[in-house]
Amino acid sequence: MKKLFTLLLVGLVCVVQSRAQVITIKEQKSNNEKVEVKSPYIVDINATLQIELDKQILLDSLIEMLGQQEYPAELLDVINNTVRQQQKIMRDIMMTGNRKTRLASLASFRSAMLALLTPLVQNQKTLENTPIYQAANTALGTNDYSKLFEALNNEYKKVNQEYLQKVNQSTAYMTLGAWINTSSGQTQIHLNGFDSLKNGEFYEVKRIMTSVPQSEIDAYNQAQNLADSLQTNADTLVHIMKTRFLTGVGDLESKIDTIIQGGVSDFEARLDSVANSIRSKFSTPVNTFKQNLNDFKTEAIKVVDEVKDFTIGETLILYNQTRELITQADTLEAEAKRLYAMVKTEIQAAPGIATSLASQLTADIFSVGNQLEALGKTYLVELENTLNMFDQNKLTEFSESAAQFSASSYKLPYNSIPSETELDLRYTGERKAGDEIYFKAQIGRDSAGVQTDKQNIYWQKLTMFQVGIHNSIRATLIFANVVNGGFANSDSDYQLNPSYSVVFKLGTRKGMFYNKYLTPGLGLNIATLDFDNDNKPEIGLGITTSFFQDYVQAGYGRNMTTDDNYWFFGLRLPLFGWATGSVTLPQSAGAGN
Amino acid sequence: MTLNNTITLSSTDSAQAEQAFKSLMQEKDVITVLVFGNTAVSQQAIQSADVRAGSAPAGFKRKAVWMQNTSQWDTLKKYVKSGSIAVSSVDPAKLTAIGISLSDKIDSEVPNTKTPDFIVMELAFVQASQE
Repeated sequence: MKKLFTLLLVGLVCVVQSRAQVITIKEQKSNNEKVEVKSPYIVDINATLQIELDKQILLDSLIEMLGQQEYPAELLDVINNTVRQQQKIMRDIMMTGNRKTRLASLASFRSAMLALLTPLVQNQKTLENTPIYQAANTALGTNDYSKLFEALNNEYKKVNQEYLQKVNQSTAYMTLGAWINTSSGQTQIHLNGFDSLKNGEFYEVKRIMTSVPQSEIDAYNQAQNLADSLQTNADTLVHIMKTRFLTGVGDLESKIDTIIQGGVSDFEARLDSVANSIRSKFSTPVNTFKQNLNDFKTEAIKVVDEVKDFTIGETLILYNQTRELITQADTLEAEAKRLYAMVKTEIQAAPGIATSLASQLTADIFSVGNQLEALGKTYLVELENTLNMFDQNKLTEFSESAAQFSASSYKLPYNSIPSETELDLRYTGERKAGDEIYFKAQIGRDSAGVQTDKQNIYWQKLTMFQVGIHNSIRATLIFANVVNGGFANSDSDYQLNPSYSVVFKLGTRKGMFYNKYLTPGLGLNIATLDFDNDNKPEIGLGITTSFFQDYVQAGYGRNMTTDDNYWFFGLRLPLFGWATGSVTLPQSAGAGN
Repeated sequence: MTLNNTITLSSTDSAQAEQAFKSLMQEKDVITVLVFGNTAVSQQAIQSADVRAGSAPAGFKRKAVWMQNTSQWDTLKKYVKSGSIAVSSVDPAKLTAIGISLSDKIDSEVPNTKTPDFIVMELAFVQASQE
């Protein structure tokens, strides 16, 4: 019987849609409306969550754990759903009116009845002697659908009564817990009715900030120092970047000459001494290869030349050119390999020459490729580090198995399990946007004091963000560019200045990337400028847009003292680890060069 | 056997059977279950289908049709169209019944491995309850 039942269960899983979850989490919005939390499982950081338990699904799970199931839980779900929809289905059956309306009702009727009848028919052999199947079949022997629903309802209630009795006579229990995951670690938090833990410290994340946080005041001071430092050390900074690049690409030119003159030219000379038939086979690929090498050399020289006039603002262009060179080197490497294969198979008369030449070619190309790849990787690592900075929380992954219930969690027998509870996130202590809340439900039974059959029946992560309008205040280093004209006593196009940005954003429950990384905002920028270079600060007021947790900003402002308009590009600090008081040359760069 | 909602096609007069089936197919808004053969299983199927044809969800009539002589299918299949099941795949030797939708498409089948009780025949009607 058990084997048959297993087969039936497998069959039903295939034909019945997946079961609903044992727990539904709803978020209470500011207008008191409760909305179910769904993918991508984002909730407001100050929300109150309502955790609702479907005790029917829980009962089925417990009975399944006890091995006392008479019917697969999926079938009982279907019957339960059908019975719940009884009135609607009966309305569809009785529908009169125009054809279009009746067709809609027929489709609705069809959908509901398919859900009910398909699993019964597909598993007819194993179900036909069960009370539910027989009652349904008898009821359909009449033309009154209400008799079918009545029969199903009665049988469903009977099964439930039996299940309830069995569960109540057992030692089965359920445990429910919640954890908060912040950058300082994971902590189990109190869920009313499910544990004896204490509430956390009350902490409401402010929606609108009206004062500048101390951290941003510190960052502003750093920005001021950095602006001064960069202004005077710009040449040094450019020198560091030039040196880094030239170290990677510098000897490319001579390397390529070696390949062309040392390898390919020798190879061509030797080709002259072999038969015409072989020579003709190699002339085209060798010429192509030579041409590509020369092109590559030209490109590399161009990049190296450009580095000589390199400025800070051209970093990205240089990065893209490096990537292009890497791609070209890959192509050359592939061509060399093809040439090598041709040499190996075609020149039987001079195997020594061919092998030596081919290995030289591939070694040289590999060397060029490796150098470029190493250079490219350095830039990519910097780029990745920058992106990681936008993810402020850097949370440690919390897994289902790592979430262990504390001794304060209750093991509740079925009848004592509340059907709902609330969690006010404001009582979970200090947290910030991007922190996570986890829920885990487990069922088990104690047998002679020994825990057995523990099963996780629910595991869900929620991510907290500020949903709706909120603001941030950030210290920002801006690169200001006067719209018409320049700066007094300076040839520079840009002036670096410290500033504060007050940026307003609209958080959403729908986009993880949007909330976590993109974070677009619009606001005001207040900068201390010195356009006339008299060391007396001027006040600039502007409108700014911000992205990526305010790390990148751009806007337009007006110097209220000199009446100049200016564009600006802003960086939130710390960025690239530059939030230091001065620029330090690395040892390898050779200070003063 | 008393059948109240069934059209029994003549086994001997092919022309009459064709005319009866054609008329039914031409009738608007009827959901049909066609039972093949005259075996014990077929007889159970037509009795179950006849009962289930007594209801008319959303006012759409149901009809059961009994084709005892399965060789007639070759002639009559031109009056139905392929739906979720292709006309060419219908083999009366392997099927107890098929369901025909409002627009004369074949949208359900009852394999002869199933016991054709009320539940099975209701499902055949339900699956065919569409345009």
